Amino acid sequence: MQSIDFIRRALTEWYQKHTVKAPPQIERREFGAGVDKKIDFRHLKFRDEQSLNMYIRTSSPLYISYSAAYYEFPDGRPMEKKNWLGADLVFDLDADEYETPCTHPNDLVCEICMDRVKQEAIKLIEEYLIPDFGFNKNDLYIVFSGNRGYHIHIRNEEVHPLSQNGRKEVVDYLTANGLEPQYLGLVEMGKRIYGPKLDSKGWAGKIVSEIYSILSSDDKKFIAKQLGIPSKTAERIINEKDFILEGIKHGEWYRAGIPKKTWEKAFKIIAMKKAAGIDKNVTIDVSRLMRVPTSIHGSTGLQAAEIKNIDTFDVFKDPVVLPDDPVTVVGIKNIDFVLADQTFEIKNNLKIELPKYAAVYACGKDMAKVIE
Amino acid sequence: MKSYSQEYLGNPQPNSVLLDEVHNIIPMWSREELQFCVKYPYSSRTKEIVRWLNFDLESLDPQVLERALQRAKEGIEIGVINPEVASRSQKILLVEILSYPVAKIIVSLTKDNYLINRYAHAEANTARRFLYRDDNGVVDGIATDVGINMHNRSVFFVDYLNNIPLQEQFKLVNAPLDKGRVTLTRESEIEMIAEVLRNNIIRDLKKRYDIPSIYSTYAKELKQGVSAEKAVISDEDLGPVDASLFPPCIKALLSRARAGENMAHQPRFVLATFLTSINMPIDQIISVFRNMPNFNEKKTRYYIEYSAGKRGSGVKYSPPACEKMKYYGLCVNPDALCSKVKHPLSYYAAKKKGKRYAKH
Ligand code: SF4
Ligand SMILES: [Zn+2]
Repeated sequence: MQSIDFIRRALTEWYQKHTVKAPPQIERREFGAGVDKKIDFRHLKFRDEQSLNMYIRTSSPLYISYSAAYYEFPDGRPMEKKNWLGADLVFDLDADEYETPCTHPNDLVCEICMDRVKQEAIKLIEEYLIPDFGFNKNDLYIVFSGNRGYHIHIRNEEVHPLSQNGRKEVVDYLTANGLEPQYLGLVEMGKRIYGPKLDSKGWAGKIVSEIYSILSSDDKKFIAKQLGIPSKTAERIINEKDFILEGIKHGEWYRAGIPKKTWEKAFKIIAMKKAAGIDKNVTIDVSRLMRVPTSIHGSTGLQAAEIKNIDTFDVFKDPVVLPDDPVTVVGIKNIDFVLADQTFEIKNNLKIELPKYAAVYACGKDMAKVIE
Repeated sequence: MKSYSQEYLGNPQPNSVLLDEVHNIIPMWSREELQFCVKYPYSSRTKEIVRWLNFDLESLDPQVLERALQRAKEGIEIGVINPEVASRSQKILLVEILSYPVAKIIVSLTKDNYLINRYAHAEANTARRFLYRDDNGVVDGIATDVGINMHNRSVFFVDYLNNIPLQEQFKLVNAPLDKGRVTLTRESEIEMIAEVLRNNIIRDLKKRYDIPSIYSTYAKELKQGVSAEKAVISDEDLGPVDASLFPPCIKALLSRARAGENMAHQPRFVLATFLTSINMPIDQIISVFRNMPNFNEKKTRYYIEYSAGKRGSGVKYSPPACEKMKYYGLCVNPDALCSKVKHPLSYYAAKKKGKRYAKH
């Protein structure tokens, strides 16, 4: 038996006994399904949860995805015949977006990189989506991608009409792309530099509070490095700290005696450091297909699980839903991986007995194959 | 079909109105008030007056019709309208006020997207011009009148982004975004009003109403009057270049340009650099941009020669790759060939090659 058939069979068995949740307004969504590729067919349409599950049970796809968009005719083709009515606002955070000290092959994950993605997701939510964009925790539907990251769906009706250009602006906001200190209020009047205040809104406020806390330090090397200024200047700043901090609080940037050009550079350095890391195209593309929440990812056998509390979500355990009956596979490389609190050691050309969920994971990631 | 006066003017039983009679019986409107309405003919104050006049499209004062036609022409040809705001005559002011809804009818009846876009653009320009000279109270009032949902000068970020022009100083990243709302500056508020107004007018003009036939005569006249000026660009004008080989994204940009849409910088850049990269003659490229509302031949020529590397630094610019195009939202209706290419130019090259082989 081919590994792919083994995986399909394992998934189908699961789908026979479980129901994939229909996304809201399922009749307005386009669906896609895939076996060889992530999406072999698209332009599919389902009336309700039952017909979606019926389809999954009979055609056993490895991947099933749906549109963040709502259409008048989800099965219309080409695209313009669908008549786009709006779309959820979606964010994708994936392990390949971030630099980590990991040494494992790129398509695998470890606690370090998965923790990094989680921290990025939390940052996106707590520093941007809630305070700046005004969403509630309840507005954020967070789902494990089934592989190496998280998806956040915002399904509130009022974001549906946001245009593609508008979504690009949201992405630029999150990544601080196009940020210009002069438009944040940094100006020179006479010989004096004025700028945003501690209570300014948006990026202006983020940057001021960051600079405020950097300048509160007594470490001249740290200040010099963070702001990109000579350490002599940093030393002077430390000596006049109270006076300078009080000024910056109220927008009197001239008190620091640093040229405007230097502040401009510092603003940008800080913005880059604070920017959120997301896969831009997923948010911008208004006809994007996303993994259907609660379905199973065919390269891992892990569920695209709904997440109630991202802080306590365990990527190596919570999405493991396939059964644990033993399956014998043979390794095609030497490698270890962790799943459901266990470490599995795969050795090239050696047979090993694995619980089914781990066998699917190992075969899906090309670490092992099933025995003919 | 609903009648225009029912839906748009809100007249249940329209009357015949001769303005000479009207102006004697409306002393309750001061000249200042009427002047305000001339400046802002879409304001709710103006709508009240128009509703009160309760006029009938069938028997409208001919002066209004003439001025309306002129208003439409003026807008389409020069991109801005110059109503007689300062007039002391109540009648002239009333003619100006009524010329707005009637001009809309006339332009709408042409069913010509180019004319509709240009006219809407001109009304938006006119609004912008008056607003910049008026005080904040007026600006806030007009913002509400055109349908902007504002609390304490702030708007929901989705409304902001769907209506603010794509310019660096208005980018969301540079805006005071807090709890989902953007606090508007005087400038961003005015620009938003202009854009909302433009979209509202385009939407209205694409609706179809039951209109007395006399208006069609005017519409015809308008169409003929300006068609000499409007460049009709067909595929033949593209010279040695075969537009059927263009990728879907470029085809879409081309038809937007032809329809006289006021395109943002990025799509213009893509179109210009694509056409220069396939060596389309410069004069022909210029004619592609001719229908844009703020077309200026000299500037366009400079811009295109610049992108072709014939000016400035001499750097020849190329259009962005598909991935960037997707990022800018300019990748539209990709087809089967698209999935095999990474660049719009390779799409064109592949098609061209395919065509050559097909001949053998
Ligand atoms: S895939 Fe590339 S060539 Fe095709 S439409 Fe999109 S941007 Fe254009
Ligand atoms: Zn890792």
